[in-house]
Amino acid sequence: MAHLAKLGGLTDELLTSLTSKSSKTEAAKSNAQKESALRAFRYNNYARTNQFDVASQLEGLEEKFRVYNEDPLADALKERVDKVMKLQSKWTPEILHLLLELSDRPLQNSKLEDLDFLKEPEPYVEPLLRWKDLVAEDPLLREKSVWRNVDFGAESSEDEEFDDGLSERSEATEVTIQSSIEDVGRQPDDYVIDVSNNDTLLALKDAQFWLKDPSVGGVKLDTVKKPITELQAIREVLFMLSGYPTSLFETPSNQSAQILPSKSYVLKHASPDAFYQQISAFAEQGSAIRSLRLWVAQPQSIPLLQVFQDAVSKRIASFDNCLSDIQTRYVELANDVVVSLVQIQTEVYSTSRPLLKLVDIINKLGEERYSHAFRYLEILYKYTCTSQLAGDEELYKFIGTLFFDCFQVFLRPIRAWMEDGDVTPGDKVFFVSRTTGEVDPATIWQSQFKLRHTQDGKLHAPTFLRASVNKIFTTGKSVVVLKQLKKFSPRNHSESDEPLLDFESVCNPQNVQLAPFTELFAEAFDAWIQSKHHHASTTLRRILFDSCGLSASLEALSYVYFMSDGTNGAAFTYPIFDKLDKLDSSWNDRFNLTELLHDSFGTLPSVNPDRLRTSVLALSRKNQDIAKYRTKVKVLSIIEIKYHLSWPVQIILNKESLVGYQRIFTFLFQIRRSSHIITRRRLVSDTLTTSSSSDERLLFYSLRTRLLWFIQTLYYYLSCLVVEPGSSAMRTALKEAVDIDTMIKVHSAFMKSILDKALLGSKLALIHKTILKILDLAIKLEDAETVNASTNKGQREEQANRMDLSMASLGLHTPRKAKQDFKSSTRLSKSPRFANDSSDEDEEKVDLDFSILSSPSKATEVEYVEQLRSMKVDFDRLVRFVASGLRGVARAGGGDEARSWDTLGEMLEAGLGTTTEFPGSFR
Amino acid sequence: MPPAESSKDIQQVRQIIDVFHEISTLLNANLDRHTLSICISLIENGVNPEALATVIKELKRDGEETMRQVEQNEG
Repeated sequence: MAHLAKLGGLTDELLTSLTSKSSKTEAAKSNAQKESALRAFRYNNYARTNQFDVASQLEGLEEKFRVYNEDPLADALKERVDKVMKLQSKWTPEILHLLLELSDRPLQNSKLEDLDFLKEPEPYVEPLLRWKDLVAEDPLLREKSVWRNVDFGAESSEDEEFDDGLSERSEATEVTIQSSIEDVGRQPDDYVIDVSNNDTLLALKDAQFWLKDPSVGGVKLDTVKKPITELQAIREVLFMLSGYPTSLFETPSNQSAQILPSKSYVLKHASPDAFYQQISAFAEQGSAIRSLRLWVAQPQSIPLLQVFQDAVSKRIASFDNCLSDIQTRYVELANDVVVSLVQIQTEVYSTSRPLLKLVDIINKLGEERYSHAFRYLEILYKYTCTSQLAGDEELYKFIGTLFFDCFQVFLRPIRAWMEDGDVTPGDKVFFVSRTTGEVDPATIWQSQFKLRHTQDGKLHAPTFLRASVNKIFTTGKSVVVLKQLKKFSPRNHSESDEPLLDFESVCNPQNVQLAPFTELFAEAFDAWIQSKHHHASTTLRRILFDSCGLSASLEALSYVYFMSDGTNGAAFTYPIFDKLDKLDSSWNDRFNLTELLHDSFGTLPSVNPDRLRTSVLALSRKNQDIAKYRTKVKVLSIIEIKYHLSWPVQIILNKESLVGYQRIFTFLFQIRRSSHIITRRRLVSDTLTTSSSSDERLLFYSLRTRLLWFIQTLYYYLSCLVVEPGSSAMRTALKEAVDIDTMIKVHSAFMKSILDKALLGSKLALIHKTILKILDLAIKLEDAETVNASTNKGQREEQANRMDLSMASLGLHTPRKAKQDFKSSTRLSKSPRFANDSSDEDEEKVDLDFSILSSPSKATEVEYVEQLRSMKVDFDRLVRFVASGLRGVARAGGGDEARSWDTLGEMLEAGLGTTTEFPGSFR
Repeated sequence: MPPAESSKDIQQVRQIIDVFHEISTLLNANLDRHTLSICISLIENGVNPEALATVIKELKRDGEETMRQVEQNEG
């Protein structure tokens, strides 16, 4: 556009120069002309200038001139063209082209004389009037006496002196070129200032005292000190404090900050020693301030230190201002001023005192070579506290403001972390670091961000912030998790949201002057954090509870793992037990189990069957024989239920706690096994009453009752005294928890507590094993009973057969019974006689148990009673052991768990208490 | 050209314009110095010389016409 504007301007000029006479007529016409001219410039189809073309045209023209006998013209043209070519202008061909286009019959019209008109007349330069010329003309002028002054007014009283020292010189004429060119360069004469009086010069020389060397008779005296006035001394001191080199003070080397007073000056009216003392004091202060200045000049790369440098340089600048104010007092004499070095010292000292404190800090920083960047913040904090405690108001305010200025920069990464969950990757100062690499969403909370620790193991944060670090950390993590859930709505964080953290508002001098700085700062910082923390944390909690279904997950877990609804639990477990007892090796088939799981638990509202599956651990090699291992409840621990939680919920209900859930499930599972196997036998259809002897019956029933009692007590203890109260307490605590970390803690504490109470802790491992043995006893009892029943039945059948045979031999006919018996004895499979499942299984058991009866059958009957007796003894022993063990551990330990153990122990002991052995009853 | 540069440059420019003016006189282009310098500036700004020549001829023609008209009116 500038180009167009230029063109427009130039076109305007062209127009005015070409049609100057008519420009005063119509402006519209000239506008139209301008427009058409511009259009012609821009939109045309003319070819580019061909410079060879142009050259040949010119040559042709020249030849034409020569042909027409106009040799001078031709020569002139050739000369000019050559000159132009030598000038090497870029646009030469174009301009020549233009001129060729505009040329109008040169042959006829051009005259050589016109060329002469081109030259502007040179102004007539008068010859320089030189003195030599004059002298040459007029010999009288050679005499000097011509120039002596004639004193016309000799009689007058005034003594006039004509200052004719300088002769008048004629001015050099200017070289006249074109009048439109400006004069270049001024004559040096223009700058000469006429200095006629020497007084100021003498005064100036006098003031430069350092140049005066005391000398006596031309001999320089080095040991005599030069006298200076007090004003000069003050000036020197002020300059030195401002950081300039002076004569009164020396710096031994350029790098170091030390300033030493020079010994070669003395005040006229004071003793040398006094003066020396005075300026030594100044020198000390000067050294300190100089070191401060040098430190400020060093470049720093960490923003924290940069802001510290900036703050310090601001303070130095204000100190410099004070010095200039002092100087103004002496320079601009508004009032009468007393010139006193001592006064200066007092003034300067009071202003420079805080700065000297800063020098302390910087020296300290320099000593600790490998400290972290925020070490100076800690030092500033400490000094603020100490100065406040010492009652030094000025220093307190000074360092307090400095501290808060630098703290603002330190707050920046904290603010970014708390508001957006962002950590700058290269930032080594901030105490939160991000682990590299991708992390699983479920472990974001735990492992993606870490608190930085120093090599000593201490937290990489200033001492005064250590208490709040955890809160800051969790806020940032909450924001990160919310972002991951895509539920993060960044608040419009305006500056007014957060409370202002600066010296005025925190340590408000009017109101809270007496409160200690530590308290004020802690309170203000807490308020600051709270303003950011509150929002993120509550949002995350709410979201976890509502949309991520934390409560639903908890409920599902309790249904599945704790079998809180017995029907579902029974539906799942009983088929497994039955299969196990049928020696069906598909009892631990994963797919069957999963289907069973879905059928039994999938109908619950809070349980999502897609997340539910079983996994079956492999049986160890020694446990391959199903007939053997079905007698032990331990084998049931290979079945594990896996309920997959969504990853936000997994933050709280993490994998370790799910392991705990699994263990409790296994325990409950095992207890149910024993319970099921005992209660399966329906006493109504029990054949025991008819076939066994009374002591067998007694033993069996008493043992059975005891086992039942034990199992029920245990199950009641686990479900109603341990799991249920623990879960409800945990749920209330979760709802009340203020942030995620508390929730995690609540849940893991809950897990640990119920594991301990459920006798699954490490301390009670022996008791746990003993309980399992008792549970095994139940199975053993049932097995023995079934064996016994089957043997009895077998015997009875044999007897019946013999009776039949004998009856048959006696001629009594009982064909059907025989047939049936025959059937039952040969066809050892399911008999459709009884629709009852239990007796079906009895038949099957009968079938199966034969394999167990590999030992001689004769001995079993005798051993049955013995078995019962030994089982009873075992039972008594084991239960007593468990009860006393529990009470012992409860006495030894303390706390909630001990109380529960104590309760259980008491319940068991109460049950055992009535057992007394009747002597000789079972022999 | 910044004024701080030496008078040599100004001299040079002056020379160039001088030469071109002389050539234009020889060729009877009927351009005065001022117009010539404007034309050179225009060309340096990229205007095509032929187009420029056309425009100049037109403008001259217009100017002469107007002149004649004015004279006719006065006369």
